[in-house]
Amino acid sequence: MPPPPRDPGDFGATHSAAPQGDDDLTAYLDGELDGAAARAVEAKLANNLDARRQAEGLKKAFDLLDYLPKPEPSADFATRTITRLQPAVATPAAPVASSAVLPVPVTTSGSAATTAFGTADFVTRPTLKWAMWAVAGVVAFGVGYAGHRLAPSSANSDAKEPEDLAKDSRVLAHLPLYLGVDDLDFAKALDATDLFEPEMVAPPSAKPEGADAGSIPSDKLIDLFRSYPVARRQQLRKLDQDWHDLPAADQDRLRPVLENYALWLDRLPDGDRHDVLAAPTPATRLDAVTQLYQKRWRESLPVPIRDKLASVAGVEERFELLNAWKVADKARRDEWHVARRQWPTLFGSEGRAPWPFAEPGMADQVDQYVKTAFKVDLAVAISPKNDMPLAARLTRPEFNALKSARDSATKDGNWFVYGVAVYRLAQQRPYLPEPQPGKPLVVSGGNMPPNLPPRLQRQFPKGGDGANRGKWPEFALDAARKFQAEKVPVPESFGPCRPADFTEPVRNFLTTVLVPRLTDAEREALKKLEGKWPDYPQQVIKLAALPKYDFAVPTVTLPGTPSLWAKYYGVTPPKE
Amino acid sequence: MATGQTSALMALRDPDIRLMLRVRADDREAFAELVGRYQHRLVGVMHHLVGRRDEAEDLAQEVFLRVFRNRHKYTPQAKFATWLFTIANNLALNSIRDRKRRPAVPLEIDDPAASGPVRTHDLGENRDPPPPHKVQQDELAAVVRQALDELNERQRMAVVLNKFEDMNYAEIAEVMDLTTKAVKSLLSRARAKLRQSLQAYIYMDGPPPAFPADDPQDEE
Repeated sequence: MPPPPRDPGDFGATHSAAPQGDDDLTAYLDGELDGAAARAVEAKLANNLDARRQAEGLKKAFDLLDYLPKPEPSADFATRTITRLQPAVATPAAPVASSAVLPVPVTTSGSAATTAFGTADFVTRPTLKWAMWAVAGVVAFGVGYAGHRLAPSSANSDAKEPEDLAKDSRVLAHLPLYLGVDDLDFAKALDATDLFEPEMVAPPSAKPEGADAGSIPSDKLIDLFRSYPVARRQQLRKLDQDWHDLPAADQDRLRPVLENYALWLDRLPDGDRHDVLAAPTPATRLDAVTQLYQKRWRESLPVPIRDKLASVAGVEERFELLNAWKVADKARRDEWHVARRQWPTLFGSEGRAPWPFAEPGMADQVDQYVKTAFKVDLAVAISPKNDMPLAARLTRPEFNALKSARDSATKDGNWFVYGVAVYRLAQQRPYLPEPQPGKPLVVSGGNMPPNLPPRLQRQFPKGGDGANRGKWPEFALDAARKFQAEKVPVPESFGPCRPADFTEPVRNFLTTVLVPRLTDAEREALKKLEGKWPDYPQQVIKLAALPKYDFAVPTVTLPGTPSLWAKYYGVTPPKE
Repeated sequence: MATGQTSALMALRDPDIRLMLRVRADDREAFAELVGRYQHRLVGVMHHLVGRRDEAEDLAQEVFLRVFRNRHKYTPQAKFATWLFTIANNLALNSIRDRKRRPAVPLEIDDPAASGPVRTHDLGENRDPPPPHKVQQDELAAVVRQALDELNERQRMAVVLNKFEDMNYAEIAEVMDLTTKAVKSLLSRARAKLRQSLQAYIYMDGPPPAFPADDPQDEE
């Protein structure tokens, strides 16, 4: 029997693209129709077998989705997720590194190097040469792995693509660096993680004697390249082209990142390396890198810390612990970077103290700065039984650490550590010029101007001066913020905010050294801030520290050129 | 979706919204609780969308990270899940499109069956035939997975939210930034396509239903 003629308003039993009528049927099945529309569909279903079959089919097909597996997150999903937050929470973009993943000389995998194989830029860049030599292990692994897994496809891919290795010589020369890289976007994403900072690249001199920095196992590289599928070869060629199209400055910035990544890959256990290289997409590869990096960092923690971590059950507690250790680790690495960067300058001459302590009188000036700015005397111990002086701007642990560094400088000549400690504290606790002698320091509620509006009076209750009582400029800055929050002008009596208000050394510096050098615009802008505290003195300090002036403000900032303090004792300069 | 003071008050009664407000106030404990509460749903939805567990977890993780990064921009809405799945929708669709645009070239070949001999341990694994029921289940799951994969990414998202998150059309519309009418049409086409792809399997658990023949012409 031929099928009955289809009603033009029918639901269309077998159409893949649903006509308008189907929208209503599906919506009806989903309980999304009401009123007249629902009744119309019901009438259609009551009168039309095709429509009923179609509805049944739609429902059954939808029910079949229940056969899909019900995926559960991995047991450590929540922990991994929260751990990944670490950099965002604690130290934005802070890398998580440890000595365990710092590149060290590879002592087992460079011996196959026999044939020089390089391009002009390859042979002229010592760091790249070292990286090429050092990643011989990963190349060997890649060849072995490819030989095992890719051999059958290798012949096929060769058959599809005429071999012209000469044109690929540049790609081959850089292959060790490209091994775990998809494309330039991946390289940039890798850079953005800050995991493979340039500072982490070990110096070329770290390679063991006998290894030839200019040699790499070219036959292995060629074998490896040949073993790749055509798509991967093309991807590598494009990566190489994109790399060489990069401006030189970008190449210089990215190169150490890629070198460091290649070295890190080289030192991974085979299984972990496989996890990175076999990731299906660049995004998952980057994730695998990050996860492995953090895992290895955790594994590198000292045993007592790992034990403690294992004994903590709560995700949040683990998070806090990991966070604290990462911050501490970052601080240690920063110190190490500073030390390593300045090693030749600081310790090039045996027995000579580093700048500024080698210069006559400068150690005394730094001590004096500590006394003036931090209100502590490092020559005098403070008994644990006694409170810290009210005016002291250092906590007891900070004071003890600074005193210990100062003592060590005198005793062992360890001036560098003292310099780092002083510089760091000076950065953390910027000082502001004090008023002239005889004028009161605003360091407690009792120094507030009279006749304050009642809402402000409530902010300074009797005996409620807070933790910064007695401390200049912290108390005054706190008070000024309260004034500003209540939209009440900060009184000029809070601190010096005109040239005449400053002590003589500051006033002389301002009027005879700094102001005459300022541009008209700078001078004009500074003039406009007169009478405004703390804006005026803060602007004076800021202008003095500009690289073009590079002045210390007497009695207020560290003695000596600010740029030299930053150069010798600052942490890794921020990425441009 | 209704907004305004009433819905805002209702929203504040939603424990998930209260939780998110704690996250917004930088309460990390609240964030951990949020992850614990939503990880199963989010990984599940992502898995249905992309078909791979590792990728699903990566995407779900990224959703949570974005929730955290954008916590200060969060404003309470009628349903927290809608906000969460809006982020998930954007991320998943971008990821799927990116994968299409830039097909991944494996740096190592992970599936030897695709290009080389079968590994011996694979043979070992398959030596003993598994129970027939399991075969049927697995086969059906694979077929359904394929049918789902044949939908375009927007259809797949709408179906997954509808089926597994039990979202109504208005909620799906909000998540996917569409009109309710567009969702109706999207789902209709998706369901029709699923029906077509799964035609052969629809009645495998029994014969087609025998509807009462109210029209003699329809009788076979």
